[in-house]
Amino acid sequence: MNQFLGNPSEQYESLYVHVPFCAGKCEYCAFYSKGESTGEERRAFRHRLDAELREAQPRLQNLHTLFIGGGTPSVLAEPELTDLLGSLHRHAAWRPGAELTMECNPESLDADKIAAMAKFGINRASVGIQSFSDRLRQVLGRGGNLDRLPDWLACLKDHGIDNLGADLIYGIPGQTLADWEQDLELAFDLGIRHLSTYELTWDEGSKLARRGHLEPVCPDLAVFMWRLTAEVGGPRGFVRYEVSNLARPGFECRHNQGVWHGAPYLGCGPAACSFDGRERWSNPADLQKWLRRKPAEPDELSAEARAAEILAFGMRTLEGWNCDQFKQRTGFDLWHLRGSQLAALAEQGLIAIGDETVRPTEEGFLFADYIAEQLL
Amino acid sequence: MQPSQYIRNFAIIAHIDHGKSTLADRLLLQTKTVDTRKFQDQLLDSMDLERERGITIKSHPVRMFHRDPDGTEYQLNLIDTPGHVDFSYEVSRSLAACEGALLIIDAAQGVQAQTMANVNLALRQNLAIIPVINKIDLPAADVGTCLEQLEEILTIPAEEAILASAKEDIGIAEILAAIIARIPPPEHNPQGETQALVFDSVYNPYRGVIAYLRVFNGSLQPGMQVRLMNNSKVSEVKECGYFTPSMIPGEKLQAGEVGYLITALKDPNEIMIGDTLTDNSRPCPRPLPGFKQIQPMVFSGIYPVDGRDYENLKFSISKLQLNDAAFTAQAENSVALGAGFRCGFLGLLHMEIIQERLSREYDMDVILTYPSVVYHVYLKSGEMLKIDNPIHLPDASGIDHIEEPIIAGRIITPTDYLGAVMNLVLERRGECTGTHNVDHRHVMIAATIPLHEIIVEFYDKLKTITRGYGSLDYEPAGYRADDMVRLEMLVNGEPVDAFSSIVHRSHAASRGRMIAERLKEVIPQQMFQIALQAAVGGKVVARENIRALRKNVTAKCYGGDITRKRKLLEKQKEGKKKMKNIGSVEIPQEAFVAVLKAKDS
Ligand SMILES: Nc1nc2c(ncn2[C@@H]2O[C@H](COP(=O)(O)OP(=O)(O)OP(=O)(O)O)[C@@H](O)[C@H]2O)c(=O)[nH]1
Ligand code: SF4
Repeated sequence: MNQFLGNPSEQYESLYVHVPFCAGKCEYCAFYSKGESTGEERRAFRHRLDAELREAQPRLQNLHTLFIGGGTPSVLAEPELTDLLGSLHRHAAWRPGAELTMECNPESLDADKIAAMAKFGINRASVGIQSFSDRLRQVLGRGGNLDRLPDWLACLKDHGIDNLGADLIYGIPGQTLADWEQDLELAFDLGIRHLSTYELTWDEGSKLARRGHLEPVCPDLAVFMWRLTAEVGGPRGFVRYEVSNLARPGFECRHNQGVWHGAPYLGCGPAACSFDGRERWSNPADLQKWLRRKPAEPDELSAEARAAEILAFGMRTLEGWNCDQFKQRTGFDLWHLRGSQLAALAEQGLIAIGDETVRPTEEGFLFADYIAEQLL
Repeated sequence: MQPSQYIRNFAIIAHIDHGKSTLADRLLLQTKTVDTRKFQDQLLDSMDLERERGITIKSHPVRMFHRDPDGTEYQLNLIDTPGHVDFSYEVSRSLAACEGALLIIDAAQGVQAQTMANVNLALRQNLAIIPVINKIDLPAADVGTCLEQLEEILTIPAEEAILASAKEDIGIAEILAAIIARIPPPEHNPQGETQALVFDSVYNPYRGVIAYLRVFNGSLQPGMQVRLMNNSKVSEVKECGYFTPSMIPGEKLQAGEVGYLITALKDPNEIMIGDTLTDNSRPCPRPLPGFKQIQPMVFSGIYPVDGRDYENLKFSISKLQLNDAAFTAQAENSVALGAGFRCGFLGLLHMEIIQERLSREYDMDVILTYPSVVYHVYLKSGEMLKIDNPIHLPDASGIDHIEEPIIAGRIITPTDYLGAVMNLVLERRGECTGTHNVDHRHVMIAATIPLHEIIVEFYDKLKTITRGYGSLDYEPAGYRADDMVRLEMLVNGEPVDAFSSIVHRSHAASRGRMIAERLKEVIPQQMFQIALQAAVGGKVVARENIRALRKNVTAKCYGGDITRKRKLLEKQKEGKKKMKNIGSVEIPQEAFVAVLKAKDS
């Protein structure tokens, strides 16, 4: 029935590189990263990363996207960054017009690093801001300040990296609707084309969850903030194309769109996850274990369950699924696979079913987990 | 062999904690029935639970031999009995096996309600009563007041009282002397047809049913064919003997004696407390008086907290029933709670004991639904139904009226709290029928109160308003009509069976509100608003709403999150499959359990 699911000779469409270093650890962070690191650790990381890329080299020759995330890739010193980009250059190749993103923190950027990025071909930068308010940044345990932000954005643009995105966090204890509106306006005023907004979560493993001294904002306020995001962004030409992401049309993050729609991607670095079109696996979330080549953790699933999973996660996006596209991706017929569940969700007003498409409604975005649960 | 004028059969009656077991231990020591070296506190309370809670649940007979100062040896049979009102039938049977009773009064506490009840039981059996004022060693001992109470409320001459301290070994010899002097020896006819009273029984997995009995006429011996008068079962006597407190097999049980008997009968229900045992070849013409089939008075559903424990629960209940004929259980199914049992108990303490034994001895985690009494429901058709389960209460339109069981209670309290106690009685739909002075500081209130009101928190309330000094005892006093209704809890219009209850109309709204509020806290929000209603006969008397969920989404979801997130959602989905669906609301069983675990629901 499905010819596609599981074709390991396929070229990866995307490559993700996880840089597990930061300058200090934020309160809310549950990503795998080290708040402090030594030059030796960073050297060992690049060395092992080079090997990981080399091994996958044959399948990295027609990439559509690159995403260097973390952690904070921009904390690497310029020579380290140049070295890492060199590895990528040696082992991977992108098709013309590919999207090459690197996450940056305004606190750790500098002109040299930006030059190195540009030289390699990075054409999209995602800048972690989280909040413009010093008070709220403090609650987040987010060190540093945003003084140099305008300089670096200008510098990025000067180097031709003009596809800029920003990250903001809402639902911070003590944050008002007015605070959030201000953050949104300041972010849009930066001339960005993409905005990710995350509701603050008390992720297991974060300091926030461990300390347990702060309470999440009430769900009603969180929903108001979520709605406000699109209300402020709409007049500026921004469309919410995924639960937490807005972009000017044409500037959606292609890398993540691929991830949500079941595109095969390779993740390199500790804690990075991969998907070859059939199976998923995760590298150990521990620098030392990863350096020692501890095997990745597989996530095996039947073809049908995998197809359902791909269906479920695609429904986080405004685009949802086109029937042909889904069939092409998974080999399964959408209606065959989950027809009754889709009909029930449409009945509840959470998804809209068109001739060839299924996609979430605005209400559906707010119940994306429920939709996914029904479809899995 | 001792002629019966050298036998004395007696019980000890006392309010809880007045020192019954301690005194019994003293008597065992003094008569050298047990060795000081092997001495273990509260020898007669053999269940762990009995020892720990200091309550006697089963009867514990023991035979002692005592030489009086003249050198005459007497056989003293002591029957330790449960003193609690729940077990008053068992107590009455134990007392029926005796000619006398030691009445213990704590010198610091004085006469309590239970003392009164037990004295009345003993007087009804025409027992000789020996009052013992115990704990005179306590600094708070007030012997004068106790003596005043004896005369005032129990009409026992103060001169008869023996002052003692079971703990300090004071007055024990005097008590033994009084037992011999004041309690009459058993009267009987050794040549008559054999007649023995079963006053308790225990089940032993190896030996079958061990009946505790008192022989009134004739004798019993191994090999004899005996007949139970109530059900005409006949069986051979395998063994008989007496307790020291361990079982000592003997050749014979004679008229006047107390002991045990083992037959071939294996089913505890075949040997009922209060039944008469006789010689099958020469049966007595009629049974001993006083036999009653014990009827549970209080009913409640028992459910395993974890549905997978159902089979275990079934097994545990059947085990407990072997030793507790009064505990009944019938399989029933609840939409909210799954498979469980509708159980009957003698009263609240009995219910608590069963619950505790299930948890302690069988490691069962159970919940109990709101208790019910047995209602007499008179239908318009003229028919009368006995209803102990709200689910079975017929529709109001077919009911002419409902009668509920009433108790006649005695409450003894320090005079200071008289007003508060009378208010409590009124609040609980009771009626005070009289007051009597117990002494210059205490008063006894006689009241009739619906049994249902007694089993829901009355006792705790009484203790609170009297700072722990109030005591209550009661006996059934028939039935009385009142405005009883079924209160139903509805989730989106559908009743939750586990929360149905029969209550007085005037209490329906407040109880309904309380449960609705608790349910509100534990039922997870859904995609739609949930109405929680309490209704009587289709009329809503209380209401709470659970607001619809505003969102169900995690903001972040990138390449690294998919596996973890999928697994989380799968787990949630699995959990929901186990949920109960009531009014299309998915509710975890734990939610119901949490509400039931809170007192009063
Ligand atoms: N000071 C003092 N304490 C005593 C005396 N007799 C008993 N006690 C204490 O009173 C408490 C209750 O004694 P028990 O013998 O367990 O009372 P009980 O009447 O058997 O209790 P139930 O089995 O519940 O009826 C125990 O802590 C005893 O140690 C006494 O003469 N003096
Ligand atoms: S939130 Fe980002 S910058 Fe902060 S510790 Fe986590 S990975 Fe590093």
